[in-house]
Amino acid sequence: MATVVQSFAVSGVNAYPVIVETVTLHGQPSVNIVGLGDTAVKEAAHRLQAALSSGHFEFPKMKVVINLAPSGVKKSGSHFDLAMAVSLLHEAGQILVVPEKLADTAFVGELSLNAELRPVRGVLPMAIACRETGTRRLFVPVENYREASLVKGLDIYAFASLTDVVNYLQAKMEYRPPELGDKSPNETLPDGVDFADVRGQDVLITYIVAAVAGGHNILMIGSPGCGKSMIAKRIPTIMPDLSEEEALEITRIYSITGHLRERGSLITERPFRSPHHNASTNALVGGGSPVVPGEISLAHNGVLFLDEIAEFDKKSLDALRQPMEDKIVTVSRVRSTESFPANFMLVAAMNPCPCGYYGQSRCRCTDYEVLKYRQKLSGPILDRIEVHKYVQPVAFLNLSTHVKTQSSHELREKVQVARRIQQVRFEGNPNVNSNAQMTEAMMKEFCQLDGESIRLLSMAFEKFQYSARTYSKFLKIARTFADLEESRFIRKQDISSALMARDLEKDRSGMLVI
Amino acid sequence: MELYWLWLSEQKGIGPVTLRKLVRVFGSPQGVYEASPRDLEISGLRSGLARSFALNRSLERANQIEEAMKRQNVRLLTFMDPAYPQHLNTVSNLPALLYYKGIVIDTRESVGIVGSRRCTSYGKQVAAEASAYLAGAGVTVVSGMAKGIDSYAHTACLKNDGYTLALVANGPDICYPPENTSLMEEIIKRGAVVSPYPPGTRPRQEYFPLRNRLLAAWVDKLLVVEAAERSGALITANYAVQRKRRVFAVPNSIYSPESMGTNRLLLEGAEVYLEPAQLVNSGMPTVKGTVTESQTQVNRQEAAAISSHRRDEEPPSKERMILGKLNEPKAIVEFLELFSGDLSALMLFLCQMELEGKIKIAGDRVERE
Repeated sequence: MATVVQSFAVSGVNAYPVIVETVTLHGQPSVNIVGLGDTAVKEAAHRLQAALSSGHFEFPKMKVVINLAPSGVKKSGSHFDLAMAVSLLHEAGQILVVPEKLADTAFVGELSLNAELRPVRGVLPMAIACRETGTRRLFVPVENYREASLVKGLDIYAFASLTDVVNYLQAKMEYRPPELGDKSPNETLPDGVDFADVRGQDVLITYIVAAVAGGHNILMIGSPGCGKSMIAKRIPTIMPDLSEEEALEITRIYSITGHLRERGSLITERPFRSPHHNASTNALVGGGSPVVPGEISLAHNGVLFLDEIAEFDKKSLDALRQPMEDKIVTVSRVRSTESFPANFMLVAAMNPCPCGYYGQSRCRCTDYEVLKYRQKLSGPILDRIEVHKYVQPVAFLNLSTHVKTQSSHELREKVQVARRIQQVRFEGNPNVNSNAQMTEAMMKEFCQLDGESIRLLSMAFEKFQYSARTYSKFLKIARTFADLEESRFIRKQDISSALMARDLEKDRSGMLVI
Repeated sequence: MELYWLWLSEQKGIGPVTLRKLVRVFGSPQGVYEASPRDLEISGLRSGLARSFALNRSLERANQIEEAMKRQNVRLLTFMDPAYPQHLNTVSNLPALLYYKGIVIDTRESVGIVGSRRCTSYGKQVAAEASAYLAGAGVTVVSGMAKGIDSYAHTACLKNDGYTLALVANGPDICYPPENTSLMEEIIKRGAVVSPYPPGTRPRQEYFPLRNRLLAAWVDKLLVVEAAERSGALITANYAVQRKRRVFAVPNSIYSPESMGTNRLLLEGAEVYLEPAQLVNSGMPTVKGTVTESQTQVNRQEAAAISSHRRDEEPPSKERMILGKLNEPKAIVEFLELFSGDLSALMLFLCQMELEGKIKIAGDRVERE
């Protein structure tokens, strides 16, 4: 009878249980791994043979068939090695384990030729799946111990080699959990970036804070070297603290893509992703075979920074439209359809004109050229970016005269105040949790304007010839500005702040083209 | 009839002077076509030329041009047409035949606006202001439909419902530079694109001088907005001086490369341009109040209503203090102390000033309107 051992495979951001069945038959000695494995799975045959011999086991001189069930689903990765080795050894009678004990245990890990266990990707979702299927024990490589331990209510056993696993299973060895190195859960921010380092951009920072507070996306337009990237890098530092659930979501994605740098530790900072502008559409939204999450999912609960957004492929950018609306991206392939979370804040940066120095005396671009350059950013994408701000280079010589800069910590306090107000406001609306997502009906309810504000708005519309759809953007941004100052109603200073948040459109009216 | 004009214009060895003379002698181009070599010789043509005329009776090329003109909706303006600017006939070497698309009217005063293709925002502002003023005063704005100053002049004129002519150095059916496609369409609708070259002619370097001479002779006054040391605008200006046209040059910094040419023109005696009213004949009523202007007027009144309200709360000195500091663009934060550090109050104040048309805000920078 075949020996059955449990393992897991990853699909999308989730793992599902895989049964590893091994049988030895009379016939010409050979190893056959069936169950639609990719090359990494097929090559396990050789790793198994080498590992068994270096572990002083005997590889059965029979026809070995290993089946990965469900057999009709494609599987990939090297993490089935350990499960295959255990089931093969058991089938060959080289280890004796009570069947019940085996049935209650799942195995994950890659084998080296020296029978050591190597770390693998996706341990976190596998551990979660393990708990969900009710399997009590999970065997993982030592390096994955920390990651697997993030899942509570599960007995994690971490081993360094196949020999240790076998010895423990046969009760020849006591299990001793590996030492978890000292690691304070709340580390300081990476590279110690802080908004206090940014000087002379106080107005822009006001808008950054508003964008973060209201869940608005932001586009910074400025000449090269004026500090767009510097500011963008600091945006995660003023976002609200990650909840445990959010942190787990991020860690799960990073676990699958193998991005978990320090294996195991929960990701406690909001991610900041800045893909280069030659990134392919699939690299951005996810794809490949097997389907893996793209940059927008890696930026989940964090910031996706698209520097030089005008240089991105138009098609790639347009692919961001649906995920920006739905906060989730669905990647469909012939064989599978995967959904990845993609709730990110889009921070984009671009030059104002082909030469990059629009508005400065050295710029000689004609209005037509400027508009043409800006049209590289398609309307639908621009439409999803509420705040467009010009960034001017800082006159660093008179910096000292400016007010003191605010630290990320102070700014985050402000953001959190506004977020709390929004939480209360949108309670009971599961699809809406920030001002940016307000529907028309909600805006009617929450964005009442007094006469003076309306007059201010209508003057601006007449002067700058804004389009009708801009109106609702002004309202949403004004709502956020009011929230930041804990005002119940939108006041005229909120409207004036909002009016200054659409620099691109304001500029359009001054362009002399037909 | 047109066919013979085209035939005549395609003849080798005769220029605009001879062409005019021949047509006058024989009454019409058809008369020239049908004349015998002897008649032609009597009328003063060299005998060799007269003979080659007689041999060149093929209308093939003329037919081709005529067809192209029909296809492209291009029309012919000959020196005998009433719409042809009569003062061009007094200049010996200007084309007697022009091709155009649109509507040509020549009963009006016209001012040429020329300048650099790579202009500064200062140049743009001057060109647009002058052109808008001329449009309001009923003066034709003539320019060359190039990038930069030229297209700003055309655009500002059209936006203020003026009449504008584009004199180009290629066939009137070709748009050069291509970025002006929509501008050209608009000019054809409400003005005209005029060219000495038949349809289908691509722009070439050697075609531009003739266009420049034509422009210089066409206009009553010429405004040179920005011109580099050696530029087409400067060449046009020199032609205009030869033609005794009044040439205005816009003064600017002596260090700006775009103003080397204009400043030199000023040195050589061009008139200093200070305001658009200079471009309109003194006898003409100076009609002020173009479309945009009247709009701003309305805006200002509305703005005044709001600002009077505001002035009750704020001492009026703040506005003056801000404007006083704005001899150059300043960062918004530099005015923070006026509002004792309250950024949102400052922004509200500045926003209102902007809506009143007193200042311009771009990003965190404020400047005077």
